[in-house]
Amino acid sequence: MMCSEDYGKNIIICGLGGQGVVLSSDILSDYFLHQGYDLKVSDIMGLGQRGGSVMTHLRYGDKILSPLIKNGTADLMIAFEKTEVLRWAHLLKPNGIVCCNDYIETPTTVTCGLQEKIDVEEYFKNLQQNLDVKIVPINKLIAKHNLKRQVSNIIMLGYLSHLLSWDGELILEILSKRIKKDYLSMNKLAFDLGKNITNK
Amino acid sequence: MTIKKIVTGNEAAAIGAYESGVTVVTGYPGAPCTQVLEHFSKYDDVYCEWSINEKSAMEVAIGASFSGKRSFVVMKTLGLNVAADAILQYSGTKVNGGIVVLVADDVGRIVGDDYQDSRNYGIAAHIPVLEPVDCEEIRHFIKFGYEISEKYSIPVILRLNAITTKSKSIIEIDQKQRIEKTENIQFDFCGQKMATNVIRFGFNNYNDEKLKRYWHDFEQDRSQLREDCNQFQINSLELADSKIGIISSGVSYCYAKEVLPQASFLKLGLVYPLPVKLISEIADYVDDLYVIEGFQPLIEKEIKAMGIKIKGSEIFPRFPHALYFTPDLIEEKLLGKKTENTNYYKDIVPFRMPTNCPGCPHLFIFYALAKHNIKSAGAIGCGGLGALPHIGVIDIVQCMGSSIGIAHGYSKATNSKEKFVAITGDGEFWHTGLNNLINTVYNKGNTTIIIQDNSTVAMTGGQGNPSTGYGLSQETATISIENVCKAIGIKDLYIVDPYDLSSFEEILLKTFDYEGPSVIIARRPCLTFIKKPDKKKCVVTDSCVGCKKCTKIGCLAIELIEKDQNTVAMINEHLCVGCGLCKEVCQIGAIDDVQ
Repeated sequence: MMCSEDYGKNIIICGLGGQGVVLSSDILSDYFLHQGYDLKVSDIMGLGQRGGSVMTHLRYGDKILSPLIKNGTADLMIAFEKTEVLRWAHLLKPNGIVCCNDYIETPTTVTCGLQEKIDVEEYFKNLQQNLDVKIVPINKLIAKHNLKRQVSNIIMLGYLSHLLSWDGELILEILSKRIKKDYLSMNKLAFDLGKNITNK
Repeated sequence: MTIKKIVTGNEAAAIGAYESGVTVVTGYPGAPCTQVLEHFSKYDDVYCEWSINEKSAMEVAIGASFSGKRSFVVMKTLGLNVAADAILQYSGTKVNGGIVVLVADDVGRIVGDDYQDSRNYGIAAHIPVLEPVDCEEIRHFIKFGYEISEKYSIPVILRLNAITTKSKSIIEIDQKQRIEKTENIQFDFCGQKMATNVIRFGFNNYNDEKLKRYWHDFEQDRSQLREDCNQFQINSLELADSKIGIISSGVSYCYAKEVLPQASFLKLGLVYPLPVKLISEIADYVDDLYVIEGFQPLIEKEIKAMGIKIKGSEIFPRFPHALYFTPDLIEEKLLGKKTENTNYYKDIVPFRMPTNCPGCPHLFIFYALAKHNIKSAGAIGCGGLGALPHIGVIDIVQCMGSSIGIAHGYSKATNSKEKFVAITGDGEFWHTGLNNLINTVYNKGNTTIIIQDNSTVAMTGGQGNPSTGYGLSQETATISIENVCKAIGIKDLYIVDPYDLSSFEEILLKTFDYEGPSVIIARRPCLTFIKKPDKKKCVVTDSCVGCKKCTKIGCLAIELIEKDQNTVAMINEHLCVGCGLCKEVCQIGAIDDVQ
């Protein structure tokens, strides 16, 4: 799916605290370990339980040295909030893929008047010229099927498994080891919903 | 049989210490290494505890070490300041069971702490400091750490940082690798360094059998270590291209090696003391020698003091926000390559500040302080977030447990009628705040102390403390905050739910009329870790006039939107928990409850 130089393959996962960035990174780490790759994964998050940006660098390949992705070398960005895509877009290589939830959350710094609001949608139009941006309507699916927001990341993983031909069965198997049994059916449903998203 | 597993540095540390046969594990929660101890709770055959502070943690471990067992202590970089008295004293005395202290620096301030370089303690105390690059090394270095701790009779620091603790990489583990027999008793007496010095330098017959057990030739151990470290396998010399040589340690080595795979390297696993012979060897071999070390230029200074020409901080200056290396930075400075990037938006994107969760009881306290324009000394952790500019009510914030002492000092200095308020969390109160409270009572202070009791150490992820009723994995006792306050002589004492804002305000103002220290226990469990919120929401009605008063309370759920060409408030339904603070603030009643 992706091409890269000697850096292995590089994935950025980003979003806000509580959106499941770390669980996504855990599942994908196990997935690429199963595939026999060497990998390094860095969860980078600020202090505080809420409100902060959360980001993961995931790198896999034959032999990975640095746990951090260099600017302009990420093949894929998995994002759960649109402002965060802008924050980390410089890490992507030209024509890199962005899969982003259709959701914007205004930072507190803007609400309380410390910083200027930016027009995220307008910047996205620019982004689309240099990157392969795919908007994933996770929130709409959650509302339509009356799911919990906690499965946002699983919908995203379902979507990615289809887009990038990842082994969906294996991802579900890894997932089932990490979550409580009671939530399994809802997560499977979420994964399938993601898999069946066909729009860009 | 070995299995391959991908783990974080924190988990690798727990595995490494477990496999080394540790018997006692202690620590205090603190980003980014809190999870090390949490991983230990799965081992039944190890005693582990959240101690009340880092000094206690260190001393418990010293006791275990003296009994001949291996012990392991975990703390964040600032915690080492609290434990410093214990650890500096233990260095230079006799060590039985090995002792490894894991300290996580926040190189680059990634997790948001104060910046501090724990290697300075290695230098100050003559303690060896190990610095691994990834998870397999963390595991291996801890085992090696115990060996040198026992061999050279010295505690050992394992230095991690915000990247090495949180990064995952592959380790191969063998379930049966735990060392079973670890008892190491060489000494039946271990005295304070001063006591042993008195014997060594006071008695000319110090070698007499009667006196021998009382002194310890620590300098001999140290000089032996300085010599031996040139042969340690964890210090590896990789001689290749003779143009560029790099001396590096920790994760910075990985960045440098990836950018300059052909260069010669001296990879330091032991960053204090330095392997002088190996350094001379690489210096002789290459034309240009660079040092790449996370945070302060300490290795650089030592090498320069050896009279060796090496480039470091003149190429990589330490700015407040660029304290850590990245592959990009090394590539730019050493190879002159800079990636041109059309997708650069970082500088225009608004920052996301750490904030309290929506509905956090602390927000009510911050609001009351702001409303009555009360001066205060603040807390560390969630209870101190009110000092950040989105709320901006707390006037001074220092370290764990400090607020009560600061408020006491302020009121003694100003002698003012209006009380200077101290705010402290429950975890912080037990950490070192209680000492300050005793001091305030003892010295007849006149301050109001608000203890924000949310029944957990919240900021680090919901750990226990003496009043929560739980600890790490062992059973714990529960100590009552109010009983302790009463016992030390607090007479003006209140317990109030901060959600009951009017009662809270009334009590707060009443304490200002009381002569002497007052304590208000503002008690409501943390919504994230202890008690989930009710399914309630608030909603902004059409009568909002956009006065923005509600945006000043620091609630994450409140946003501003454009509506009919006016800016009005909007409550994010995904985040709101219906605590109602915004309703209290909105003077025109434009916010309603929805069930």
